[in-house]
Amino acid sequence: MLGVNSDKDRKALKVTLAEQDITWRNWWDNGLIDGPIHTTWQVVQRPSIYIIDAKGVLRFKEIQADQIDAAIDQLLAEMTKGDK
Amino acid sequence: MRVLIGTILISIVCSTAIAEDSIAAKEYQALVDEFELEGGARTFAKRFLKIAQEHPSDPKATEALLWVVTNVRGRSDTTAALQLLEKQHASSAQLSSACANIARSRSIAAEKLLRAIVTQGDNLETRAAACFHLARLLETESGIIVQLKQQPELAPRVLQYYGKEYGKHLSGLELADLSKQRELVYQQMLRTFSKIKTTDGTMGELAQKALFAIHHLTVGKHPPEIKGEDVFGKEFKLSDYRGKVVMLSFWGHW
Repeated sequence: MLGVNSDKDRKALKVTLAEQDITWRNWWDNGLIDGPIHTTWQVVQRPSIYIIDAKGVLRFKEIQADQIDAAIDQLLAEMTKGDK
Repeated sequence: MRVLIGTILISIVCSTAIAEDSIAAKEYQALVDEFELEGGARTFAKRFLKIAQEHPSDPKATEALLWVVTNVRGRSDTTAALQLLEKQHASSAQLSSACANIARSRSIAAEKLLRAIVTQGDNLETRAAACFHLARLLETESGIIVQLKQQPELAPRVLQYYGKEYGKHLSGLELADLSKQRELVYQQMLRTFSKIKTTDGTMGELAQKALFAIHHLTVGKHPPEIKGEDVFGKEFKLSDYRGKVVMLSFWGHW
């Protein structure tokens, strides 16, 4: 789990991360909703969740919250299959 | 001298009057007036079509067909109007401001007409407008297909909103085909209409952004690298996580 965060204040963000027990690593996108990462990825809505498989291929884009578990299970299963 | 000017004026007035008084123009105006009194665009569509069919070379024919396209969406009359425009009026100057309405007409014939305007349009701006709205139309169609895949229960509503004919056509579209079509349209946009301005920058910039999305930000493609600092200032990269399933969230408080 990784994040790209667009909050303005980096200090305040540190507090948020601690308070809400956010343990995943986040790129900080210069405090802009149109920061360089958001621009390159052409992100139009937040929160917006993408899932990338073990081979680095984008598999799910702007996925609905209730479909995330099934999607990750599917990709993990593909991964173990590939190992055998 | 004064008499001469007077004569010229009169002849100008007369010639305009004649042009505006063509049978098609009279019929068109009468129908517009009647519609404004009664309303109910659908019942008028066939009568506007008739004016265009009976006076194909009159400029009012184009206007009558555009009336149908603008006021009646997703019906067989809409398709008939679009098909006539494509066959007989694709190079008409009147189409320059109609491309958005054509793209929104909810008919299988809209795409073909826009393609015809892209090649045969009156001037570069008109052709560019057709290309821009053709791209928008294909984007909208892709969006519908993606949504239908996620929520198949929406299918009856798609049929209802887009009409039987176009709705059926939509549900039969393949995302991969649409993606290829979009790619071709944006390549043409980049080649031919690059310098034309839109509210979101030039069409060249627009096309490049869209092509990047098709090649890198679409399901099944390799997304761009992310390299940057975390909240504590330590640098890390997305590719560091290759070999793992990565859930990537764009988020923030605002």
